[in-house]
Amino acid sequence: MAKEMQLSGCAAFAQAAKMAQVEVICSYPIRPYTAIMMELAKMVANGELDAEFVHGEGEHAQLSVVLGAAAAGARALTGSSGVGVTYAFEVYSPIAGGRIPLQMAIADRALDPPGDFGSEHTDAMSCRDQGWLMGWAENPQEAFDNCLINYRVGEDHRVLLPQFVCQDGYFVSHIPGLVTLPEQKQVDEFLPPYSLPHPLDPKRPVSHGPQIRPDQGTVMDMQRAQAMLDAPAVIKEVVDNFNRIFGRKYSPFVEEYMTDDAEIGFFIQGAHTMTARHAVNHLRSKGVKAGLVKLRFVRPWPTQEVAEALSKFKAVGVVETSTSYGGAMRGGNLLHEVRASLYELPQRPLTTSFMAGLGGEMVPLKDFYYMAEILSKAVQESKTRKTVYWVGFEAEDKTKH
Amino acid sequence: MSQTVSLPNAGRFFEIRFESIGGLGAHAAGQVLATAAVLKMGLNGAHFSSYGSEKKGSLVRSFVRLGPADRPIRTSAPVEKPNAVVVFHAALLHNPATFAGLYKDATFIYNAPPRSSPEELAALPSTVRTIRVDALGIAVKEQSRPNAVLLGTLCGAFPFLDTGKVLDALSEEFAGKHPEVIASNERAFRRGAAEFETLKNVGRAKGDLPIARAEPAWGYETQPIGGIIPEPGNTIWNDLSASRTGSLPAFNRENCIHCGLCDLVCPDYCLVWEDGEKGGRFERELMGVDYRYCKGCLRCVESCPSSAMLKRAETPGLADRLSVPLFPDLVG
Amino acid sequence: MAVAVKTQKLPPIKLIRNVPKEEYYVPGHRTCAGCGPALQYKLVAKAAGPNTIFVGPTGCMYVANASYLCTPYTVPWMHSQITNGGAVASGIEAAYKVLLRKGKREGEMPNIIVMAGDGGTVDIGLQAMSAMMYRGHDVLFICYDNEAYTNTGIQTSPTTPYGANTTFTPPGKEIPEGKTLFPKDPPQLVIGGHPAVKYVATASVAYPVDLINKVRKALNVVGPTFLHIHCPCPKGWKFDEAKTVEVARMAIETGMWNMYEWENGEYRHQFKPKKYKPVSEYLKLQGRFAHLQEAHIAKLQAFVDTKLKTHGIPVEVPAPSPRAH
Repeated sequence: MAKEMQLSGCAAFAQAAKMAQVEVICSYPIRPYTAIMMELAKMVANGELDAEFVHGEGEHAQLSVVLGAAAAGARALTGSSGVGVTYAFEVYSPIAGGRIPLQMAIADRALDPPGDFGSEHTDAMSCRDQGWLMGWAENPQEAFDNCLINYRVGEDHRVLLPQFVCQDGYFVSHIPGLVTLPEQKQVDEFLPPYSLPHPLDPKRPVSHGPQIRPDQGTVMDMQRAQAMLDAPAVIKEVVDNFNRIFGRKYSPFVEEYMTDDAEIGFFIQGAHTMTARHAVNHLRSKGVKAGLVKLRFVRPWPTQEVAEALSKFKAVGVVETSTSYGGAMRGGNLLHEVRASLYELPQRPLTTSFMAGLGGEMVPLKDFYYMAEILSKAVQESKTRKTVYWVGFEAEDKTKH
Repeated sequence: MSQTVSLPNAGRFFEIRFESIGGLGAHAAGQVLATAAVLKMGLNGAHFSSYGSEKKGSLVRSFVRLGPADRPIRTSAPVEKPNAVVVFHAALLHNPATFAGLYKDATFIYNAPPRSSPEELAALPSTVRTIRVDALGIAVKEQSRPNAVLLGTLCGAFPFLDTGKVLDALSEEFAGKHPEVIASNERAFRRGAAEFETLKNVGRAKGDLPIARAEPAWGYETQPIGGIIPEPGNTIWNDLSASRTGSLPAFNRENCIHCGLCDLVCPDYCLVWEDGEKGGRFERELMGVDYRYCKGCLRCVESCPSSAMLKRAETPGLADRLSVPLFPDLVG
Repeated sequence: MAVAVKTQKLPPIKLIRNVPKEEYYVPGHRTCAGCGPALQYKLVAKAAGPNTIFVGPTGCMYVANASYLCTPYTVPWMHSQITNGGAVASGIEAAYKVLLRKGKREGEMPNIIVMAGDGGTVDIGLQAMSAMMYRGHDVLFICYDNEAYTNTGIQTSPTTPYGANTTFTPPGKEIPEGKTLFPKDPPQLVIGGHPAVKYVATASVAYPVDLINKVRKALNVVGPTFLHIHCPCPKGWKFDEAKTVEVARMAIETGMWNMYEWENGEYRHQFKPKKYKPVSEYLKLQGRFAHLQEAHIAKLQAFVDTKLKTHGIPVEVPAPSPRAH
């Protein structure tokens, strides 16, 4: 019987992991994702979940433990935040290149310095080129759903890639939202048991990860690249199936909101999408032709879908909740990939970066109105005055300072 | 100021390839030659080697590229079309890549005792100058290393290389670390320059030899994903005989008491055992050595209590004659 | 029936002729001639048998063995980073626990063995090794100690002896002894503070049957165990590759290497010479000590004497304090 509960993103994710019947979990505490592990620990202690709960000695160890476990044939889960995510960096490539489809929950957090517990996408975004599937949840329901979707896609033998399942720290991880929990039999129908083509098994010995010559390495890289090329078709298939079984209406890669006849729009991922939607509604009521496009998968980046969706706008504000110092656009990460997606279009919208929500700051409605004003002006002038705006800190911006 | 020497082929680089295995000093030899060319002979020169992890016994290729002073050397690609190839270990003649890319008028120098003419040399173009020198023998006598001898032979074979300058560079290389070897290196070098034989009617091929590029065994559609090796133990197809450096353990079955000590100290599992005769004295009996895997460490010789394993100088073909196969059903 | 806890008992070997004939570490690997670690790997694989999974952190026993898409292991083997051998093995063990419990795998808990070099055990791998010991996983952690980071061209590690010449501790005018630091003691680190560990032992390639038996004993224990194996490296220590066993034996006879088992709080010292030879007998066998002067050798002798005393092993002559020189 489907159950409705008010759950935080962490609690919701833990419920999904339980229903996915994860078998090996490796924990290490760091705010704000720790709550996921605390929930799972209770479940294991109470016998609700039959899994090995391993206390890792650090994030690098967490990834190493689940690598061993998943290679041996168990569905494995770990997670982290902030500098924990970057501490484990060494192991991300061995896992993706070894084609071990384990899952890592990331409740994101700003990187040091200084110590800041606040949400920021930079931690996970810094790791996006290692060959992992990756995307953000907007709310606890999506956090729950993404856990199951990602296991199903990653474990598909056409893909076999690990997954970063991300949610905004505090805004999603700690604020309860309505979550509909499915029945176990629905989950079992959607997610078959974990099965690796060549697990570590004395009955069928294989060697994982030998030393190679340079000419043998490119082949492995190409295969990993091919997996990313094959993944979108699988994602589409899986999300359609998910929607059918669980009664949701997810668009696999991007979600469009009020994009028909829109002139200006926000390109955004994660928690602040919720506020952006309200902003769009308000702007529309004021006669501004606003819309938004929400990104669900950073990797594989849905180039085609992004181009199609954004081509409907005259000016797009890319809301960046992560930093890329010295990057081409001198701002965040997303604008680089947005512009690359738009490059081939005969008619390209104007695009600019809005640095917002960094360090755990809220992105209130007035920030979105400020962004809309800038975008509207850009449409009038047929050009953007700047390619990056640090919202709240620009000289003419009176909203914060 | 260094005197400028002229290269034999005006307007072209002069390229040398050393074919060796780790531990024989091919890299150092290339370094010395290039240093001499650049700092003392007024040439432009580049030297680099290709090799994997730094251990004895693994394949090493060292490349030297020499050019006139007014022509900068911008490439660091491996030498695919050599004017000279120097082979440090005769076992490498089994490997066709050793000959790859030779110009028809190139020089081919190999290290082997007198009267040794392996049939693999037929693959050389008939117009290649083939030189044999007993680099190991001379090195052992002079308490030096084969690379010193072979550098001498290279200078003897190519008068444009200034013998004195190369010798100076050789001595300087060791002056800081091992001054005691300078004199023996010099003796070995000079003998190398004088005691080589030029062979006739060796090669039977015509024209330049084609270059060889390593082809991977698998492509991106066929390689097992994740870099997994589904075939456990596939190292048994590797032939490690080239890593021996002059001696092998010879097995004398009559003296053997089948105690098994040799097996307990062999890191490579080269010893072939079989069940003893029913009702006989020994449960398991040693049949011999599979020299495909033997690297010549001679620990079996050290540990044998009954002189059944003895150190013997390796001559071409000896290992093949004595070898007992470890995996007769699997390895041809 | 699937068993989540090991019940196997590998029998000890009493006679050489009872050494099992099956090999799980086949030839053709590209280790140097006379490689000490390769020898212990062969003996360990033989001792463990077919129901085994090896974890191979980066090092000589990874790069030289599994080179160029080849593998000498006929049992499952997995590469790990040099940093995380203990962690990856912990994951494999946890997976097997749950998979056997749920009936997804058949048979017995496999032997899970980490084959880490000295760096992967007490330097960059220390954290993962210690955590594995603390968590009580049923894994055997083997440190094959060739006293340096050898695969990268012989650099010093925390088990490199005082006075050794490595490419990071070359002797020179300012630093005549080369290495100035005294080494960590891996088994003592494990014994010192991990309550879940029940068996720790040292072994040497000088005594292969003893090595096999200690591996079996460790594998028969249900829980984390630790073996510290002395494997002289002909290239790194600069000696004739035929002499590996001789060098290993001399290490024991001079006290530079101590053979013992520690089980449930009790020590059993083994292969104790009636009279210890002076360390100079060991040093003169190896080129990596060729530069040492009298004062350095005396310092090393004092260190060895103190170490033996700490273990309760009687030493002929009272040792001067290491600081005296």
